[in-house]
Amino acid sequence: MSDLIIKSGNLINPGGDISGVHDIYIKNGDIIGIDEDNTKLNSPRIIDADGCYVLPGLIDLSVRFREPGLEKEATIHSESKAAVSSGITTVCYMPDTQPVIDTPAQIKLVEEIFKNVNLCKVKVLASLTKGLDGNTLSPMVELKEAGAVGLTNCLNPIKDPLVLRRAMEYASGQNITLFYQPQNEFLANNGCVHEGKISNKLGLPGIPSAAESSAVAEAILLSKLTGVKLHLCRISCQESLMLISNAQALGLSITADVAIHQLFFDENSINNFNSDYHVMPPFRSNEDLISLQKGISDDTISVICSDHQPHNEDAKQAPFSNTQPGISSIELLIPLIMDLVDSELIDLNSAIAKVTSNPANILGLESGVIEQGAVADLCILKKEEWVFKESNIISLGKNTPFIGKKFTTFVDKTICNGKIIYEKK
Amino acid sequence: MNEKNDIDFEAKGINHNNIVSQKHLRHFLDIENLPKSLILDILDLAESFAGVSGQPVKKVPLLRGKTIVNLFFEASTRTRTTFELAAKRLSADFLNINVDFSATKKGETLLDTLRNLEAMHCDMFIVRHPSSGAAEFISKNVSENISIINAGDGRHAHPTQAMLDIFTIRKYFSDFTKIKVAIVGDILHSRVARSLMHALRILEVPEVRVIGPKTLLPNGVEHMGVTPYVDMDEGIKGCNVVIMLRLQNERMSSSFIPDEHEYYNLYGFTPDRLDLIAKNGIVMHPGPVNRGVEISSEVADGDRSVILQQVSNGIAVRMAILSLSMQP
Amino acid sequence: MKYSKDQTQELLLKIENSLRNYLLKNNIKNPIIIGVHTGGAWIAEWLQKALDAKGSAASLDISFYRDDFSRIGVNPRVGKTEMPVSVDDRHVILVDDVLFTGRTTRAAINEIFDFGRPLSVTLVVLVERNGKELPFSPDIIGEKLELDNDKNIKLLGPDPMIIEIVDKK
Repeated sequence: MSDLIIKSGNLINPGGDISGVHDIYIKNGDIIGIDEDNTKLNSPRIIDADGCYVLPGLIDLSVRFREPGLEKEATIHSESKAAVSSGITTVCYMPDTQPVIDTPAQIKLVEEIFKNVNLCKVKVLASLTKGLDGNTLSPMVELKEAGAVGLTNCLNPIKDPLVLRRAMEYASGQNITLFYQPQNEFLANNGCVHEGKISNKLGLPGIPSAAESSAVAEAILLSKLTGVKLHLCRISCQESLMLISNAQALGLSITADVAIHQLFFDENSINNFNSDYHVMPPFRSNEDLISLQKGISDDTISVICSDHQPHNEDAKQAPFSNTQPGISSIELLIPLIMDLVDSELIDLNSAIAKVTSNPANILGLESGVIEQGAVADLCILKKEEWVFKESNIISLGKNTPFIGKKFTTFVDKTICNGKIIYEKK
Repeated sequence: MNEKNDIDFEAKGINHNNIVSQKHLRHFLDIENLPKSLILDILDLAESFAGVSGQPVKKVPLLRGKTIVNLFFEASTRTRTTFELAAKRLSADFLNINVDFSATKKGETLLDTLRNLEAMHCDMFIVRHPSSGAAEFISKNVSENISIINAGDGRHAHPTQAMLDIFTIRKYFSDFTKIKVAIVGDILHSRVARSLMHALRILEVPEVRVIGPKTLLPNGVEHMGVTPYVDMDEGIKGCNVVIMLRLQNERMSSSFIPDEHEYYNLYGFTPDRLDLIAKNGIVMHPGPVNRGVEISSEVADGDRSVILQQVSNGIAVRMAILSLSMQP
Repeated sequence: MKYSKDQTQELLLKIENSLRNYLLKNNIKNPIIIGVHTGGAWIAEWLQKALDAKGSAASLDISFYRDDFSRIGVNPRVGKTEMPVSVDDRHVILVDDVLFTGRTTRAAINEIFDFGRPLSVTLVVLVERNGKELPFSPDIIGEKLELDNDKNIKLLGPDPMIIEIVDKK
């Protein structure tokens, strides 16, 4: 492996002490020096990052790879290629595959595939219940020892609050973080859009905000009861934010994330049954959108993730309520975040924290920060205007509403364990 | 002399799926964006077709050589047969296709069905489907020369029903800007109600009321330009037109309302309620009627009810819509 | 270019006379006069009165019987067809203002036959112009005209009725 010097990059490093223009020296996969070469480097490749931002490699808290079992939609290889093109060096793997990731053997299988693909690193989120059935607890400790960084029931409901309590209690006893996507399945009632103006007009079954916020309230109070570390996934409405903010003020260990696309659209985008905008949780009212944007700038929401859900063409080729929800977005994670910064909805440092140091803290990782001695997971951003075209899409999932959007930043290089795993041609 | 006519009706070239150019309709998917002038033209044309049913030969050769297909993914007798009659009275060739939707869960099958039908060189599909937006989806996936008529998609729209309802209203009230209209029943699940709300708004009816239990009134329905009422007596007071909607059995088992008995007392059109509406008021119902649930037999069969006329008007109105939408 | 009211009147009187003689000669009593919208219907009504026949003339709107649907679609403005229930065993006097290509006549005759089986159909036109495309000839005619291809002829009315020659749009 060759050594690297990244020269004159502008370090954006919210999790560390060092920021501004510095040189980074990398040897054997680690950052061995900043601004000075502590150990003699071996004919290093010199990367000129003058005028570029240098960030810690991004950590994406929710990515669906579809493999094993759903390879007709995407594979670990194809989606890893997409991930690294957006500066992502660590992905959180979502377990709702076929079969579900609920045994240590399956975690090993997934990690093995990632090792062979040899691009970004993986942290597996294992299933909270067996087969995601929402009822029988999976072997949490075994899963943790096999490498799971947390447990989630994805979008599958845990019907019985008592099961949720017990799951939280057990996890809390083992210091395992619960990644919980809050939605009361009964109140959601098979809806596919936000219950509001658009659902009224289009006659589509709606999901009221209360379906999410009531589940948030229940989860917060149960986490207070059980002491579990709770991370709330894919928040979509003002009501939920209010509850989370109050809980945080009371000192409860509650964190929350939002999917990147929820910061750009509201229910009006659905317009005339456009299934590109069919997502779960749904795009809500304009007031909710504005609240979410505020929520990332005031840190109620500490993480932004891609919520990457690649689909094949068929999944969106049907009447709206018969289509699969989800957007393929991983390769636009950092360009979209920079778009938020350009629009002054959030400052640069806070924005980068949401995809580096903050998710690292929640996952208990040491990465997400640039400092001497840290693993060299980095990405280099260049400022230049470009337009996202269909031919640009690297993911196997072409289901994205962002085609035609103008961006001001792109990833020039992504470095993982000191190796360049992506380079813009 | 009628040799070479110019089509001079004015369609305001609105950028919408329905209208392909200044002069022609192509699809008939929903009422929402239709210009008022086009709606009136359809009513006028329907007037001319109404005469055809009284003639010895109940046909005109207008659509001879064209093939129209009923593509129904949802059961229906009334709508299916009126469209069939309308098509046949225009001398079109006609085909009925019923697809068991419950057996086809995935959208691919819908596309495949369309492709197979297109290979048979049909000119027009009349589609009824349980998913909102189905007609729109189908219209985006057929070739240029094919027209799609929406015969009801989920809860979203039933534009031909709304057209025949306003055609019927016009027979009794020539000036839409001077009447009060109320729609009573399960507004939340009703595609007829949605299309009516749009049509009445476009025709500038000054007051449109929707009446029902709160569970069956969409939250924020005021955005659609109507006034909600949970008190039926208050709501129908002084109305010139009251349109009763069918209450489906499922609503009682899904806790929208407690039972038929209470519903009938609160929201059924009972004979005593006739005194509340305007002296010249009429009672309508898109059918089929649940006697004793949303309307009493006495009212349904009485002289203020125009329910049967709605049915016969349905053929003429649909003939007008089919003629205008058919691609030349 | 417009004919004067008197000139048009002259032609109307001419066809009235010819029709009277025709009916006498062929021993036709109680014919049914049917005018084609719009100009033909005005003339039919005029003839009905002139011949002292009771009631109104019948009238046809041929919009649904035209042969050009595949070129121009349907015109939503359709006139009223006022016909008796049946034309079985009746002598039909079919009246139109102008005979041009003959397609209107073809459509009108098709429509009449959807109302029954007439004993005969006699074609009466105020003006026949050049440009015939189908083999129809008028039985009674006011005037024959030669017009350039860029001209159209139409009847204004109903009162007074005036023939007008205009440029094609």
